Amino acid sequence: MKNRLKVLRAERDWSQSDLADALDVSRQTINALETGKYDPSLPLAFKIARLFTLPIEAIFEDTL
Amino acid sequence: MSEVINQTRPGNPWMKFVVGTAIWAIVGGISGYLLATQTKGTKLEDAVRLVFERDFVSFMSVLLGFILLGIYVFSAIIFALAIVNKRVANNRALTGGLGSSPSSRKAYPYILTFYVAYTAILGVLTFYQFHPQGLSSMSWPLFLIGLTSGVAMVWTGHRLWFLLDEFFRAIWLEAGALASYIMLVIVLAAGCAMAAGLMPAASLYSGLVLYQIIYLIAYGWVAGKRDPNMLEMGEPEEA
Repeated sequence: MKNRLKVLRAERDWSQSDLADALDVSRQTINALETGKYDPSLPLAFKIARLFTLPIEAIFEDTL
Repeated sequence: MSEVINQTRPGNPWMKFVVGTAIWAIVGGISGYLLATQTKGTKLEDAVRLVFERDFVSFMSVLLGFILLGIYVFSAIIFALAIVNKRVANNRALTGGLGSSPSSRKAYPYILTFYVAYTAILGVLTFYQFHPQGLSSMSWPLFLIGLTSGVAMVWTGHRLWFLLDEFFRAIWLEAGALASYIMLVIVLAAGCAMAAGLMPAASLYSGLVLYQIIYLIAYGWVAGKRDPNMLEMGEPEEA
């Protein structure tokens, strides 16, 4: 699954650690999400959407 | 890219495997000969015989058990150092990819307790596997050590499950499921071989040791797949 996390984070000038702290997850999780190695759970996806005030579909894109 | 790989790794991989195995066989033969001749007639002879008179599966289990004990003792020392030293915590290769994030550092005391308890249980099991008749007067204290350590492992495991986030839980689950599936296939195949009388009966300890080895390999593979920087030395740069 593709996502725009890295772009959204860069637009706000946040580091991976800043985003990890805001979402209460580890930096490894952010790194794995941004590189597409890990797909978040639904609760984490909603949390990300709330943080960026965007709908989930605007952040995550189904590659199928 | 393939040219670069060919330049740096010349030779047929099968030939390298055969030559490597042959070298290990020769080194093993020479080591065994030297060990036997040097310990013959000394006090060490009985201890060496105790090890080598076992069947292959039992011998390998005890050997791997001692190697695992070494790994767990080393891990316990590393996590104890990671609690007090941020440079050690920063080294993701040493800390199994955890790094020095606040949640990771909060988890280190629990991981340390987990490894100490794990070492204690495996130590007791390995000792009795190595020397079944040994320390018979210590049976109850050793059982209590095992029981206490087991409770400590359950408690710290429960705490760690909620302290670390879903990414690590996903890695544990995937590595655990993969290792369990591989182990199931091995147990079924070995069970058939035992039932048919093709190999001697293996102990539960042998299965436990084998599962741990498979789990460690599975964890490394899954962690590396999920995050290529997971087991690198130091904190990675921003992706």
